[in-house]
Amino acid sequence: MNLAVLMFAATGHAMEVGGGVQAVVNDPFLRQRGLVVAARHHLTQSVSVGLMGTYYPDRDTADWTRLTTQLVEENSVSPDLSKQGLTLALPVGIDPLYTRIGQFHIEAQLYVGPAVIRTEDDLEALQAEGDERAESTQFQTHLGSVFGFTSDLFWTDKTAVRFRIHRQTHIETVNGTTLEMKGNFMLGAEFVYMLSAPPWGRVGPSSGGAP
Amino acid sequence: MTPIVGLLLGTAQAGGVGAAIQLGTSRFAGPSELAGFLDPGVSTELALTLPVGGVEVGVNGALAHHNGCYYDSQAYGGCPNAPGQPGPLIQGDVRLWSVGPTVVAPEVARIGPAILSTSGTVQVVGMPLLMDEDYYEEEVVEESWGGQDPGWHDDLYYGAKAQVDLGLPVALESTAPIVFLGTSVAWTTRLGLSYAPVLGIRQPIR
Repeated sequence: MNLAVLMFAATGHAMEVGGGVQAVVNDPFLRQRGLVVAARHHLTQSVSVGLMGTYYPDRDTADWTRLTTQLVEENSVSPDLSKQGLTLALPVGIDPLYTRIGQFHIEAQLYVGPAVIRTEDDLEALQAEGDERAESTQFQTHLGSVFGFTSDLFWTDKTAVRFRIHRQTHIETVNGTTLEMKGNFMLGAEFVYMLSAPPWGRVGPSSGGAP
Repeated sequence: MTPIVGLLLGTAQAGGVGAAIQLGTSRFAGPSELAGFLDPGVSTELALTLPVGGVEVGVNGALAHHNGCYYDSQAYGGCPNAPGQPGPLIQGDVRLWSVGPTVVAPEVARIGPAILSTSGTVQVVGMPLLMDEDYYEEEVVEESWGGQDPGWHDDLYYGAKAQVDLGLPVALESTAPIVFLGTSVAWTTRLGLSYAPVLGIRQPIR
């Protein structure tokens, strides 16, 4: 029996998958938008382990904010820009809240976990294209940490929309020896689908009372 | 691997899994060589535990990121939080990872509705080099530090950590998670003494 079968078997646990969009909201130099896919396996009603992947496509100068464009093109100043590409995180979550408002069931989760983050320095913004030193650390893979909060709004037993507030921390190396700590906040929205129903039940639109 | 995962999932289903996630602002205290040269960092920590007798036993892992004094400033005593004092000669900003077995006593005492918990962890700690290794040797070690390299980023360190926290259940149900505030104190070989106020949420096994 392989791991996939074990994870998807009716063990009395609940499994969900989701996908959506996410945006970095606190970077004054870059405007990054990306896609997120996430899976979560509930070990118990309150404890879950997950896998979350985020991909931010490189849109060249379309990722630059107006500040960056002005600094590079008008002031000839090079901000140290490093763009996120692919991130994989392993969040462990605790669900402190299950409630019902009208016909919607709401679940909230807090999570923390390690992440692997792939970044690419923007050598055009750094004005260091062809520079051997800058190219030595242009592509990097970092170990970082994530923590965040999600709120799932279920309108059926299996389907929900999720809102996510996410924080990611890592340390980048630019130009060989310049270290910069990055703490990005992201906001996201996802569609969630339960692959296996939770054994502890969920309040549906036609029923009332506590789960 | 699969039998181990099966055993863990089966135990989780039968006896429950405990978990704790927390955020802290970790900092190095006076006796540590790093005190004054690393700013308080953001630490994220998680623990997964299984029931063993009256306590919970499992694994604890943490990651902390600290802003540090610029490597060049450490060489001539130019660090703003330790003026005139030569630095430990670390790369600057650091990432500290730690992992190890943990024992949790999820309910040591009750103080009104609040629950006092303690935990102890034995851990391995690493502070890896984040710069390009060749430029680190050329510019940092040879040019800025005069050839000295104390080797902070080469070794693994060993230590222990203890935490005490006070929490409140988020609901009246006996199985409800517990939000807690606490303090953890750690001592690690060479790195020295560190502590962190922490805020977290715990799901004890019931």
